[in-house]
Amino acid sequence: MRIGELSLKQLRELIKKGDIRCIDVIDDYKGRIEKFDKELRAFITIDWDKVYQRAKDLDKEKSREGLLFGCPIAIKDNILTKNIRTTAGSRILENYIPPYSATVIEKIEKEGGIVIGKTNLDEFAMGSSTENSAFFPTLNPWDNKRVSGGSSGGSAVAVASFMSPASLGSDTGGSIRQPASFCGIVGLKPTYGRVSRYGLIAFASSLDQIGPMARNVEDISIMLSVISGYDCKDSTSSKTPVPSYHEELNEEIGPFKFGIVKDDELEGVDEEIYRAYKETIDLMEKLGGKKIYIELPHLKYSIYVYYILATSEASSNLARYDGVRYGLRLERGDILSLYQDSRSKGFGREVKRRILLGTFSLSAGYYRAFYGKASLVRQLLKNDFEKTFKEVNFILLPTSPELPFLLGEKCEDPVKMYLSDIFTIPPNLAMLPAISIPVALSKNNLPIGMQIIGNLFDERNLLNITNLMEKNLSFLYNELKRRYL
Amino acid sequence: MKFDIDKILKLSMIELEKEEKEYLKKEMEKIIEWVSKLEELDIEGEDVVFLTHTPLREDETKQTLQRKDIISPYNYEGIFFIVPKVVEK
Repeated sequence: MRIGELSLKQLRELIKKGDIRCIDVIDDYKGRIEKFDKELRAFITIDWDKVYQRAKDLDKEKSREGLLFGCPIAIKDNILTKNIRTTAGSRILENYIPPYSATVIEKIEKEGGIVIGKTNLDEFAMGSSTENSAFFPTLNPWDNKRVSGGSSGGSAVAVASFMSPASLGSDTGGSIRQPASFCGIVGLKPTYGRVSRYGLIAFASSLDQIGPMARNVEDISIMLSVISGYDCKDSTSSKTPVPSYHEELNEEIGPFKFGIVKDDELEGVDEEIYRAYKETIDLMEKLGGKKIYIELPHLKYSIYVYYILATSEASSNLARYDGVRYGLRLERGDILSLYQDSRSKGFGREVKRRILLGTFSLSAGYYRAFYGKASLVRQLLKNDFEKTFKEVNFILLPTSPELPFLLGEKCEDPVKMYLSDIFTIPPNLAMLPAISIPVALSKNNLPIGMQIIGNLFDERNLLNITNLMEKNLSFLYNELKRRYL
Repeated sequence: MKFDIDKILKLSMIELEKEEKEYLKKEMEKIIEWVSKLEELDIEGEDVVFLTHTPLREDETKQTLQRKDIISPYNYEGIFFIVPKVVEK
């Protein structure tokens, strides 16, 4: 038995039985982090003293109850962890030590989980490759000349290279699903409101959602059971009851219908991804699904809607970084320079770009044509999905139109970079849950992910169908195990 | 579409070096042209109902974070944040 390949459930059960100690688990993971993270650079901050203290405390507990008892969990560095530096990948928060933990962290710790470290991301989660991190890019564990995807690239790589069994990411326009796809793991963006965002550093509040990343659907379901639920500290969190996702995982799902799009919606999609899409359709049919061609008339506008709305919200959310209360503080003796110097030196180029676009979209004279119209079209897209989900249980789309790209390939062309989110954005706009699972390897040994979108708050069925689908796909991890375990 | 970068920078409280400003201005114009594709969609006559609302909660006193725990001493004095002087003599 190798500790690194154990699932969350297996880990927890062995610890409960007393076969292994929490501290053994940490020793094992620390070994791999020390060996591989110098090169891959998934983590920004790891406080080993705290990690070991936590493991020792857990080992002293008699009851050893908790869904994540003794399990290390890597946390994207835009989720606040009390007394552990949280940077959001930005110079402006480079030395920020949060005085409280996000609700998801409290929930993970209540179930016995161990925060193992804080993972790299594009600055303020703005990007698709982690190259916008103010510190360093995270490399793809399948090919280290390629990007990990983003913005939750560090969380994806930590899981794919066995430096953590599971992690948390955040997803505003694909930031969990696209890096999951690029690294060959599973990543879920839950329904908007399913998971509390108290303590998540805000990017675009009408779209942001925290979600789990792991190497199999069962672990995703355990993580979701732990982090879901209403939180009075996040008024947008939902009171919809939380099922026991992991206990209901293997229930029959019976015959189902799934929506697919016509070929012209897939224009520009990489050939191998297109082929994997067709193969995934076959697989879903084999599992009892009936395919239905769907039409979402406003789908093609979603990327423009997204970049207007997300940047508008970002420009407002990031106004709080003014050098006064926390974060980088620079000044030349007057109040204006305090704001301007702190922000100008603290934010990186992509963040400035998005603040400028958002400020423009909200400015007098342009508000109606940009923010106003984008909000309307978002509602029309939501209506499209609502209508479609009267006919189907799921919608199948590729996660990314392309394979993991080379480092530096898109840095000089923001629009090209933005287009890599084209299939992941629509579920955020429509607030729907969506999961990316690995389905194939390209001829160059790069993972290909497919995205299954579910109806609002129907994570249960989304997890059940993908749990069936992945049973046929276990071949994928052999290469990663050979390299990193 | 005229993109007045100086006005937007002022509103955003961001300052840029001349070169960086020129570079970003060009980029922003490209990005704005790109998102302007939304203009081609005619939504006249679409009956759009927004279903969003702001949830409310009971106004109850609850324990929250303590002031002493959330301030950082370097920019804080008494019960105030320290900032450069904002009023003229």
